[in-house]
Amino acid sequence: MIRRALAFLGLAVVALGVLVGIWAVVSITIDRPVTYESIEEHFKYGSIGSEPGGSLFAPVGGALPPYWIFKSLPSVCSDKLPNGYATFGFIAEPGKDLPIGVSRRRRLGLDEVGLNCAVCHSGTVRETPQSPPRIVLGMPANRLDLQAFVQFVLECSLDNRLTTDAIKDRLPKKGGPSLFERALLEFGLVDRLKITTLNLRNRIAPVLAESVPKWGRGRVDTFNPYKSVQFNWDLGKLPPGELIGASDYPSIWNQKSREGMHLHWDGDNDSVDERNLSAALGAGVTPVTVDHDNLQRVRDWIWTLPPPKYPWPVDQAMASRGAPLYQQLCASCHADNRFRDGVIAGSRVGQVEPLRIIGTDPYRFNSYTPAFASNQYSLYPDSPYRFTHFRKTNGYANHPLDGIWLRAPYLHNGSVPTLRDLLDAPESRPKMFYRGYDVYDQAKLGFVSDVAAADGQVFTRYDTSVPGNANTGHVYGTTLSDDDKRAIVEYLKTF
Amino acid sequence: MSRLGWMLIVLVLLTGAVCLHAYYRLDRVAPVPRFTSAQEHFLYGSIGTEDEHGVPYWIWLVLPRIFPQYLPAPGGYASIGIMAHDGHEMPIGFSKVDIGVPRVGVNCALCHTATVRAAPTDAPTVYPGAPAHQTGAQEYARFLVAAASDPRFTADTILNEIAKNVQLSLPDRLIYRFVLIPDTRRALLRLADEEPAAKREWGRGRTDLVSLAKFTVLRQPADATIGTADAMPLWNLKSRETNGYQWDRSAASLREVVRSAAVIEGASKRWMDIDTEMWDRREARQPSSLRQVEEYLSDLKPPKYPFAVDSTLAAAGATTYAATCAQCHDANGARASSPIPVAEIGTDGSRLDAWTARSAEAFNAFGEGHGWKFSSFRKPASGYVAPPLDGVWLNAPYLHNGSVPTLSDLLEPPANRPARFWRGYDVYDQARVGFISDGPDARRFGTLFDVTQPGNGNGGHTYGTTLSAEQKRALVEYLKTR
Repeated sequence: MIRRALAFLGLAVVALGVLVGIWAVVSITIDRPVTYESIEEHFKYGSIGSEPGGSLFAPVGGALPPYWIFKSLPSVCSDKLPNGYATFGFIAEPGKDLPIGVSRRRRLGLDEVGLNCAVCHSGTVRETPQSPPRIVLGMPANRLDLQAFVQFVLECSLDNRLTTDAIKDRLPKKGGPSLFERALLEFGLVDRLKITTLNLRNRIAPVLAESVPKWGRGRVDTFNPYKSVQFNWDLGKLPPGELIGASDYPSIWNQKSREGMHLHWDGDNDSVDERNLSAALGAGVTPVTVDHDNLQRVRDWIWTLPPPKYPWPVDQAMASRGAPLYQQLCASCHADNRFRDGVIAGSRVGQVEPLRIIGTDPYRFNSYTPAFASNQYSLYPDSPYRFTHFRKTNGYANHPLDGIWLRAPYLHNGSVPTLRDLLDAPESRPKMFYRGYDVYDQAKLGFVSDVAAADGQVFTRYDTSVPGNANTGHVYGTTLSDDDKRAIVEYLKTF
Repeated sequence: MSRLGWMLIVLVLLTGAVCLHAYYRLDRVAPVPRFTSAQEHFLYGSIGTEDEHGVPYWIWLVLPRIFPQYLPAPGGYASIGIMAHDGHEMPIGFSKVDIGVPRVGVNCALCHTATVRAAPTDAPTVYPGAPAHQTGAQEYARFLVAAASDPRFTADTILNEIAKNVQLSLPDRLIYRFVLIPDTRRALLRLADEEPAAKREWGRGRTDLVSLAKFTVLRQPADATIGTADAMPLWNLKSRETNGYQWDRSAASLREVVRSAAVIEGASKRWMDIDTEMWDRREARQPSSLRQVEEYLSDLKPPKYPFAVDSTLAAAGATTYAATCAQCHDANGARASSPIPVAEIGTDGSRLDAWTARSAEAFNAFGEGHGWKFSSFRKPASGYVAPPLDGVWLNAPYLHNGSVPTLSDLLEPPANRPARFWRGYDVYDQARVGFISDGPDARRFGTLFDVTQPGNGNGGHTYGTTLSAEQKRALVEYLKTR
């Protein structure tokens, strides 16, 4: 009798063990993004695979902590972030759990979060401080301070107040993490997070150092973090000049007409698809964790996404006076307002202008080196996606101006607040202004740039004397009369 | 059938599968990748060095990311002048071939392809066949050895880094963990013991092939000689067969020069046998790789000087050249085909002393019983060859040991030539004709060359040093047109 009972007990224990094993394996192997039917929702909240993946013991990729920890950071480190993630210029939509640009995906048994294309390529615009912001997908993230956000996530993840208990205290009563996640949380998840965070912080510390000018709102240094995150270069040993590379986010609409043009500010790549995959690395994917299908959805959508039309009145008479001036001074490099329909008028559109001719700030150009290109050719190895199109160029690329009204501030480093300012000689352009406000200046074409703070947001003070911030060069049209300049600006509203 | 029988059959099948997989992953020589042109084959093709000395590709890829501290600067292999260009996966001079798993070897282009830039902000222009003045071949070997000597060279570290790039299958991960990673480590550590030549500084753009041949290939006892020299330009090689190859004219057959270079760089005997077997089978699925290299090099033409030339000045210099240089350096010169005795030329004698009659004899005997056995190596008379000056603008630094940075410096008396300069920076000095060899960038990208070190003497070859400043300028201008 007792023997039989023991045998049953033994069997039950083994069966339970097997079940627990199956449960753990199933939990770990599930790789399931939160999916969205509508392409706009997918763009805003869908996953491109930038959440950590690979193996549970040595996950690869990712830049953000797991969902439940990510949600609790602002409250754990509330002194550093009294107003939550909105402080950094993230766009929060009513009724949404996460801000635009942050995706959610189940990987390695955890609810993970990651960044997607929308984080850097969605912005807002308003007519007056009183009007509601209009969210525009595909425009540069004019308000986002990505560097401050990354710095906050790193610091708070390493903060002593971030403990397993601190997270458990902040979990909701209902609808919290799964049993498996709770088990991981109990068994060292926070410690592992601190180790990976420490590793990431040590790698990119020289980019975040005080000696390197801050990116500020609306800008990112794409390639310097990439040098260390992908290739583990010792950034501290690079010449200081090469560590400065902050530049504006570009718009990402109307990509089909750009295929074959020199993309990126320095024109280092002429393949839209490769450029997309490279940008995805910046968001935290790796060649093994990238979600090609989901990225392809975004790619297909931006392929023909139309640039938003200027929503306010245009003085047609003045615009048609500006058109011939534009044709004469600008069109050969920048095409005209038919580019939104795919017409490429101009022989130098999408070509690279040598630095000595264009004369704009050299830092971004210098931060991209032949040695870096050489390393890039080994990215996405052993796959059809391997990088083959990157090249070191000799200057900055001429970009088409579709939707240019939303792409302020201007020049690659965002050093000139409005189009009207760009038509003044460099010495007459604003030497100091603020970036990050989304109220529009219809007279000068650009965002209002003389407001230091509003709506609880402190804007970036942009000083053109700081290395990398120069507003020199691109002197085309600067000798025109004031009337002619106004006419060109009016015509640019039709792009 | 009995239960035992079934178990045996299953066991045999399983063992067979495991062995087959192991063979497939460890020893199978896959066909060499085909390239679209002879030039591509020269730059990225295989000369058989993967078989015994190839580093498994995935290990090779991640080592600079795990051990950046053993490289002189950020940039991975690019920091020692080993760079991929124009979208190619492999750096110039590196081949990737499946010997079981993909393995990385080196080829002729490692030492025989130069990069040149007009300005520091330019992308480099690649010149196949020109001496690879920018490449740190020794630094590369030393990096691999340093990585293998590090306690962090473990299966865990390396597989975790590989996992960021590719998802290996479970059997492959096991093979990497238990066979390839430990084997690679052992092989690299052996490399450290094998090379007495590695104890001396080559610096950028130089190799000691004589020592590699004597000590690594022939396993002769170490001696104190130094054979370090610049790589030679590979222009118009077929036409130079009668004059002999190498700085000391120790080889008399282009085919043997190509084959011996492969052997010295580490091609295995089994690979050499296959390549020789394929030599005349042009339609074969995998024709001889070295034959393609030989044919490509037979009449490779030197590239023209890409910057401005003052043609009036150059014309004036032509006369000086005819009077001062042509006798030895012109193809039709009276002394073009004879070595200039070292007592007369006065340049550093180490390279000449390093290769002896005994070395030649042993090297000729090395391939005994193989179709590729050498016969034309020799110890010639005691002097250096005066190489033709075609494409001389790309041959900088000058003299056989690369001890003089520019042509303008070479026209100065030895005492006035730079005693310390930096080799490896590829921005061109159009005024002095050579590469920029001092200043912050040259120091950052290059390696120090000190003429007081053994084998590095910059004396001798005083021809033209007494010309007037104007004549020198004209002569240098003329040499741009060669």
